[in-house]
Amino acid sequence: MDEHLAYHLPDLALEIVLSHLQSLADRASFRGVCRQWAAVWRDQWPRTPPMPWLAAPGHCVALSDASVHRVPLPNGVDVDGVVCCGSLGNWIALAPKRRRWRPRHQVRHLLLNPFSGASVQLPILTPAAFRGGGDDINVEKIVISSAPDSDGCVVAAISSTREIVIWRRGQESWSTPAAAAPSNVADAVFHGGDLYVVDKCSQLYVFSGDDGGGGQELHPVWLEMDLTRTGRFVARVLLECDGRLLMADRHRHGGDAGYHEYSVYALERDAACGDWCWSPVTRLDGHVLFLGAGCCRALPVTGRDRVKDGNVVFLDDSAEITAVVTVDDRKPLERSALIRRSMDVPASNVMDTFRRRGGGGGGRPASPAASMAGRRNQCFGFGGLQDLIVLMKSFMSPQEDECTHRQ
Amino acid sequence: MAAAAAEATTDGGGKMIILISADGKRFEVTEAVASQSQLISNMIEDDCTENGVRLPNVDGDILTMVVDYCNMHAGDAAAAGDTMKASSTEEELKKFDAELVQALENPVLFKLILAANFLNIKSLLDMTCQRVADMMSGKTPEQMRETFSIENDFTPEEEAAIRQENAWAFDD
Repeated sequence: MDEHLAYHLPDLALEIVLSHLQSLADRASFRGVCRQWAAVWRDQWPRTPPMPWLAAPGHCVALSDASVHRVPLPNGVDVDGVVCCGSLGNWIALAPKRRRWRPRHQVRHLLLNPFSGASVQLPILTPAAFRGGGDDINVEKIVISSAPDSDGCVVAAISSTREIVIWRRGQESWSTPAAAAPSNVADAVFHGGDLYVVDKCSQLYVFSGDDGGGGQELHPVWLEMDLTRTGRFVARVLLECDGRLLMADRHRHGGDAGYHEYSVYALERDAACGDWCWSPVTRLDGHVLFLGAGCCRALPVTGRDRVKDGNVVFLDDSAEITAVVTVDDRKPLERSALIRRSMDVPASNVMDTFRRRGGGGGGRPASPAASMAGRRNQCFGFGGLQDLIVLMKSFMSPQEDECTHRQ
Repeated sequence: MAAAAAEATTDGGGKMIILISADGKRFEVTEAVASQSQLISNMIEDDCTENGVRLPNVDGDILTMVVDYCNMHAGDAAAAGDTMKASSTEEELKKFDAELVQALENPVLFKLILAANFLNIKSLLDMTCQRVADMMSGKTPEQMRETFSIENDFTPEEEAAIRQENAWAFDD
């Protein structure tokens, strides 16, 4: 050991080195070097999460270096037959693609951890679970409270009829919220152990995570909001950021040559009257927001990260727009960035945005083809980044928590 | 207001401090330069820099680099109130920093990290660690060990377990 003393770095230095490694694959390598490095990797994980991956059918794309990683699916699951409709940590939620001829009773959703290979089958979702009824109900989004293979995991699904159904680990079927189930649901998120659901009329519902039984108590929270609706409402999402609950509204302005705009609000308790309210967020304070239809994430970033502080990054799954939004971090978010239309932004540039931010970048692959030919990268069946971008469905932010348990 | 603050810093940094490396080399620097090291800054506060500051685990050639770095960056704090000045030197600083770490052989880079860690100079530590991270990028664990001459102290079982858990990262 002594002859290596000159190369022995203190833990603090290794922690800083690790925090500079944005690529998850590089971090995995770091862990495999020696015991000291593995220990630093284990301790450091929760403090400096790496940039998330984008989940696409059959593979994931790392935002840090645009590398492509194959996602092995369990036997019997067809890559072309599923779409990603949610994620938590290492887990992604896969929904069968909508097919008219598919008998409803076959529709099962799957939670999959592509890193460990673990999977959890969700109960069959029958139209009867929804008040709206009808045969043509699809799940559009799945939110997960905690690792699906851990006790106490709660899963909520938002249907195409904008209703919500809930499954608790151990239960045999989905259930609807006991009282005054929200309709016209815009989005849902787990925040502080409770399930928050917002509808398109801006009413917020909180389902306490504590009651173990099937009947979830509902605490409707009315919100005084001053939303200046100048454009056409497109989407509303909820996400957790630095311990706060954020709501991001997307509006479209103008006609064909129009643009999209995000307004971001934080749930706060009014100091004077004690009521909850949505207050406009004008600074993201060292965070970047990833907004996708399947999943939203806020991640802390440092000045050296390839994704810049104060940015809102989003990908539109409806094929209307494929763009990364870069909010000028010197301007307040209140009147957030203009989003260029998809045809203005070549898809290859979207990934370039991440790659070029690397600083220096001399050693980085120059072309998409080169980046895919890297030692760890494998891409099958897709022609290039154009395909990847368009197919992206969701963001996942990998955490290797369950790996550490095994050590 | 800003000018007064800058002046105060200059006044405070006028006093000289002697740094003595492990091999006995002496470096005379201003307090403002030296106090970028949190360690020395604390010593200045405690008034124990009179007879020079001995740094028994920093070699002279490494300390030369550290002093160069601190001299170059000493303007940071003073210029903070003056945005024009700060932005004009920013480019130069970046160039200086890049050249400093770019040319280093691994053993020297590691020694510089150890010195920055010991002296507690956050920006230098951060910069040198960034360099190490850049050198790691795209490497397998084996390549990382080779690059940094690190001994593999895993048991074969441990290594196999990690390899299996990391299989997704190396699916070539």
